[in-house]
Amino acid sequence: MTEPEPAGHERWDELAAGHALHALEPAEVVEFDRHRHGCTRCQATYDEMSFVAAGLGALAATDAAGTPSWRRMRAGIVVPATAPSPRRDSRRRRLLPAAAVAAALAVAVVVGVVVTGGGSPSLTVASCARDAGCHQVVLRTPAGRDAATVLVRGRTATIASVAIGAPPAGSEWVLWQVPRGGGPVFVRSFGAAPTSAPSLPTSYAGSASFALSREPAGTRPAQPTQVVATGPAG
Amino acid sequence: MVGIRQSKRATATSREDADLVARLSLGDEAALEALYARYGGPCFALAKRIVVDRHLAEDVVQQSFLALWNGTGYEPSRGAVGTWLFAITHNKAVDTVRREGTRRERITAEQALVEIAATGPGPDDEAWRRLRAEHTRAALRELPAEQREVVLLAYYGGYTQREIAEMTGLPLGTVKTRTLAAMRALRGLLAREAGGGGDD
Repeated sequence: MTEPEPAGHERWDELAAGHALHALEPAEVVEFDRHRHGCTRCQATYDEMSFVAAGLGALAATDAAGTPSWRRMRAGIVVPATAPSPRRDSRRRRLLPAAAVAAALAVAVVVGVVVTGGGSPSLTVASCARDAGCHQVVLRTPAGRDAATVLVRGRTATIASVAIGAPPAGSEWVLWQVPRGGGPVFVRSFGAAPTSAPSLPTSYAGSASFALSREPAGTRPAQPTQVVATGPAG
Repeated sequence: MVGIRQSKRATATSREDADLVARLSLGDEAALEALYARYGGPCFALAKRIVVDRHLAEDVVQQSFLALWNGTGYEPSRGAVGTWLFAITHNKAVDTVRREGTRRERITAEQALVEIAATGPGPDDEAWRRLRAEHTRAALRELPAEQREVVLLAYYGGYTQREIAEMTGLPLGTVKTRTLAAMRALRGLLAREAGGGGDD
């Protein structure tokens, strides 16, 4: 039986309600996310539905017995990637050990963010232009559109702007460094909120290019899966 | 559209949380620990209710706080970090159930409601969270049974609306309509409760 489609925004409201309950099919999630990012009304509806859903969560969040200690939890969140996570079941090692994170990155319009390996002052496009030791790398999409600008001084990288905007829901941007004669190396991931990253794996002189990819949120792939922009070094 | 007001206590908590989130952006691990102290337990409880297995629940919570630490997904301008943590914990718990295939016995909506009613907020819960839980519980009880059913099956059972339609024999459109009606009703009921002397 074919059911009639609800009129106007009713259908979007239905999707908002289902989305807030995490009860939609994947295709519906994509459809609604694509719509709400351009519709302030639906974004507001979704935010309110999410608040209601959080109330449902609060109802269930009353039996906290057995909550892992911070010390136990911290090992899988804050410690560097090389440190093993104290997990009993190696099968669960799909949890990504986090890189040492520090600074915050806001992906809104154009934002300056420091990705620093050790206390270097923030870089800006202007200060980089005045510094002979600073290099500006513009990452562009295949269509030639500016996606991001990375400033490199020594082993410090600053993502000075993210013109491409916030990543789609459920995904994040990842910056890669491509050494000469080698494959891309993960530098840092970032999304719509501040984050940080360790120092660059390779010196700028040893770099062939940088790349920006889109990855599922919370993952740390060994290779970029969907490269959205690249920029040559040097 | 009905707005949902927060109690004064909740507003103060939100300000504290906003400060902690801002400190996260500077790599302040103590801020993350403080947020974990506040929300780790509730998130774990929520995850455990959905995935049942405590090790899976621990994984879920770790993923949620890892996302917060990495700054992936949370936008302070869109709402409180506590709301976001509940949402991401719920989503990851449901994804885990769907992926691991460890879905427990088919939970009925009424079973979920009984379990919720049986476990009231603990003495360690912040006052505003207790109040919010009580308001939500009361609002759920005011819903028509058919609306409550689809919401509870979705939220606590981790079922998609299509699965709920198959389980209940209802048309998918009816499930969607009832879900929207239920969420709108809850939104209104919670707004009414917040405006009716919820300030503490």
